[in-house]
Amino acid sequence: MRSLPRRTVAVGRRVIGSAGARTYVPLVVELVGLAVAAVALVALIALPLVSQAAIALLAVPTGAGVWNWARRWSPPRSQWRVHADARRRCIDLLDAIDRAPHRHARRARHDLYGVFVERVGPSVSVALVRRRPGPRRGRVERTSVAEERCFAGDEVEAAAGWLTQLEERAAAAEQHERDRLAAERDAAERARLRARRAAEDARLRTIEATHESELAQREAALRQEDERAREREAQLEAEALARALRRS
Amino acid sequence: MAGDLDRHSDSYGCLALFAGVLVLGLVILAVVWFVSTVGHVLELTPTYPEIDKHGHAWIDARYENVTWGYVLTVLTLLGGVPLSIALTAELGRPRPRARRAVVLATALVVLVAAIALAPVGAR
Repeated sequence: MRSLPRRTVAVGRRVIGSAGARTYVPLVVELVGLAVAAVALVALIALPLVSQAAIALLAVPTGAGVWNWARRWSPPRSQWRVHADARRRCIDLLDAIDRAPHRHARRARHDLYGVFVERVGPSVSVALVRRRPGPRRGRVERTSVAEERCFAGDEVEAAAGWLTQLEERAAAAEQHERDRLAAERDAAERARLRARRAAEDARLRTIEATHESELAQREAALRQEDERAREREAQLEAEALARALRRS
Repeated sequence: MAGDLDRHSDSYGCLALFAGVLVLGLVILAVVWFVSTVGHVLELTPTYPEIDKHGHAWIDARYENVTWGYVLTVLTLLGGVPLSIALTAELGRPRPRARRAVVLATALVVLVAAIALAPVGAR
């Protein structure tokens, strides 16, 4: 009973994260948005007839936007297929990298690699894809095909061999990138430690120099005081001698 | 001879000044006429013939806050129309930039709401 909510959450997450949901939900939302925008446009056009001419300032751009949007969906059935296919391809391309078996972190600061399998007419294309690091937006645009090979439908063994080879290469390439980044981080850390140590040494040297100069000043002051005391003693002795001479 | 020349140049100067003032007056008249017409269409200001024919009391009886009506009309002409054109161009692009479109649309909605809801224009 306790694990039921967790399982429900996991199933929900899987449903939301599925390629089908990610493909069709945005398209449905877009179509609903188009319908709402069309209704809003009709309302905007109807409004100036009863009240304000200034509504035209909004109605004209809204009309242009709705027209542009509607053109994107015309004719609806074939455009639906085109958009769904294009979106599905983008999601598969993203998943090829984000859900690769060797994935460590999705938002890494290095190039990410994956294997993308796509049906191209009667043949199958198996490609090594690479994504440069960057923000979440524009992930698809940053993903490029590094190497690609097409196989006919009956070349199953060759395709499977190439797929395995590419997956190993993708994992190795990412491991290499991670090692490179780790080496760079270590070098930067070493440089930072060296700089900190140099700064600490300089600070200690400054303290030592200050200390030495203070000691020298104090010694000089003591020497001067000794000199003055000796002079005073000599003066007192001279005065005592003079007094003794005067008495005799 | 020199005196004649000076007199001629003085008279030309006066004529040019008069023509300049006349042209400036006509331009101002045309601008006021145009702004008044647009403002009247937006139900914010009286038309120029109304201002010309009737007095202050007549205008006050039929329109409220005429000055603000002119301010809103000028804002519409100088800000609203260019914003509307820019938004139309933005939304007509193959891939409209959402942030820019939202900024432009917000400014336009504020202006239109001010025109529609402010206590300005015909009573």
